[in-house]
Amino acid sequence: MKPKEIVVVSGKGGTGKTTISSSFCKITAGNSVICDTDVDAPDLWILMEPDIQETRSFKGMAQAEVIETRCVECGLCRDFCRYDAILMNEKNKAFVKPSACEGCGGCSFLCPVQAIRMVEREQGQYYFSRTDLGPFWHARLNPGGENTGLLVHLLREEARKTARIEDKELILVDGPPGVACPTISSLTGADHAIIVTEPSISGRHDLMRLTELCEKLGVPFSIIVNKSDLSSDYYSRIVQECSYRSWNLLGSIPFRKEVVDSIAKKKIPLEELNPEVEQIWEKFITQFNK
Amino acid sequence: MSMENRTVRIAVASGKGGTGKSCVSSSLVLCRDSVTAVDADVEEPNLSLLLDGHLHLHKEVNVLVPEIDTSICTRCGKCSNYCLYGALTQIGNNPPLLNKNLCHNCGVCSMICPYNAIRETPYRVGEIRSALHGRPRIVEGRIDIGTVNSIPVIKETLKEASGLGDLMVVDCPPGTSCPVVACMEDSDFVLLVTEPTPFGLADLEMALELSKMLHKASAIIVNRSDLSGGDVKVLSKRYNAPILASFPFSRNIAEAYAQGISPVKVDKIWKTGIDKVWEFLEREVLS
Repeated sequence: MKPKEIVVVSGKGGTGKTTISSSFCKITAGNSVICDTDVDAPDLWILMEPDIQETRSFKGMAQAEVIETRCVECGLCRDFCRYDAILMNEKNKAFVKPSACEGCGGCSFLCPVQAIRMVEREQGQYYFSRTDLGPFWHARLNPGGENTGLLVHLLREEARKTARIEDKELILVDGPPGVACPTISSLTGADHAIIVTEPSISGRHDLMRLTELCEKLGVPFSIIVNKSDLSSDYYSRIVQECSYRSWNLLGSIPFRKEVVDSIAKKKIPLEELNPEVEQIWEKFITQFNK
Repeated sequence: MSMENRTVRIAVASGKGGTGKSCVSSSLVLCRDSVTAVDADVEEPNLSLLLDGHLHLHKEVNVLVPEIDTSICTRCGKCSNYCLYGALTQIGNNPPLLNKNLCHNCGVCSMICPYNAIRETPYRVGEIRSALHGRPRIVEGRIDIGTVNSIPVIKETLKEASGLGDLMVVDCPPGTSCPVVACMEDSDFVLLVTEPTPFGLADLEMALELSKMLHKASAIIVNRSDLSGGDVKVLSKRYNAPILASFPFSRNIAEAYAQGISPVKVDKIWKTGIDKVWEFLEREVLS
């Protein structure tokens, strides 16, 4: 049977994605492969005590590098580069700003004296770990790293392989915030998205954008309102929005100080999020398996 | 650091999302005259929600994507072979097909085509909205839903805001990858907002590492400072980034924030703290 991939996303950061997905991991322990695709701010590992089995280097795309002794100072590469990644140094030789280079290779193609080569650089690492709750794929992009979408794609592919080999029904993905590159890469082709939002003006605004993205990508989604007692006004606005648009509202969880205390001790706050979080999962999985 | 008539940029970043970047940015903007508030979190821009800003369309952001004249194209395959992003695919004797989501707008295909069959045409990826005559002045970048690469909108937003005054506060996206680099790169100072939880600190460390890599001086603001699970001081010392202010969790602030009210409007501790941050910036960055 093909494993089902459930992705937890939020649009807005800090609504409780990792807190809630870690609880789902605990509820489904033994049946799921766990995957953290928030690769430039990965936090799920903190609650997982991962025993790393395998570390792999993530290279991403090759970037341009100038061989200074060959450079004839013509400036063609600098003029061509759309990313303003090539500058001339004090000796008037070209040099590449790695943080700006997107690796298109145009400069290397144009250079009349072959002074620019494309060099692969490590952009981060990704890991396969064992945890008490199941196999776990996670990563760490170097600060300033590029190609987050590609790294997310690799992680999901590996998680799917592991799920097939180890005969797991589910893949639980803790996704990134936002609506661009890494989020699109996390959602594309997934079986379902669980959106964690919060009742605030920003939470609502970001929820609207994320649901639009899910609809565009054809990924069905359900919604959880976390810290639901933060604002009764925005809580009822989100509930109304869900009913008006026929969005599936799975449930809500009030703010509890104990949840934060549990995270501070690096413990998954399942008991602290209960009874709501287990009811939510039960409701979700029943609907999902129908 | 001298000002030389150029806009001084203060970047507000965090690593982890939801630590209070927009709370800090909005408070900074409301506590000092003639600052341009720039929302560079173009995926989920919500700084203006805390500033009562009534934004209008300022300009559209377009990128250039290839358009192939199939009457000239000989199906030689050079463009699709050379496109390192896999955005151009040629199947059989059909002209190459473009996947706009994979295109990085580098211009290599049109440069490389031996028959000049490729010209570049604008393709909309987002917009910039602004409120230029209100107080404060606001410039916001916003990608269209479905746009993969947020960098062009971030760069254009910063460029538009640069000409408007001599000081801007840039609300950055979360994370530590290329969108944050685009925001921090030309900034004069980086303020990192964190919370003292294991998640907050893990991501703060990555953000400090990024500022160091980009040779940016930085300082830390601790939000929800009464939460536990870690000590910000260790990182502050290691990266030579002073802690400028600490704000304890307050139900009152959280509720105001939910309604779109900036903390500085409802809480004295925030007002005093943010004034101190400005004093520091005046001394270390603006003079």
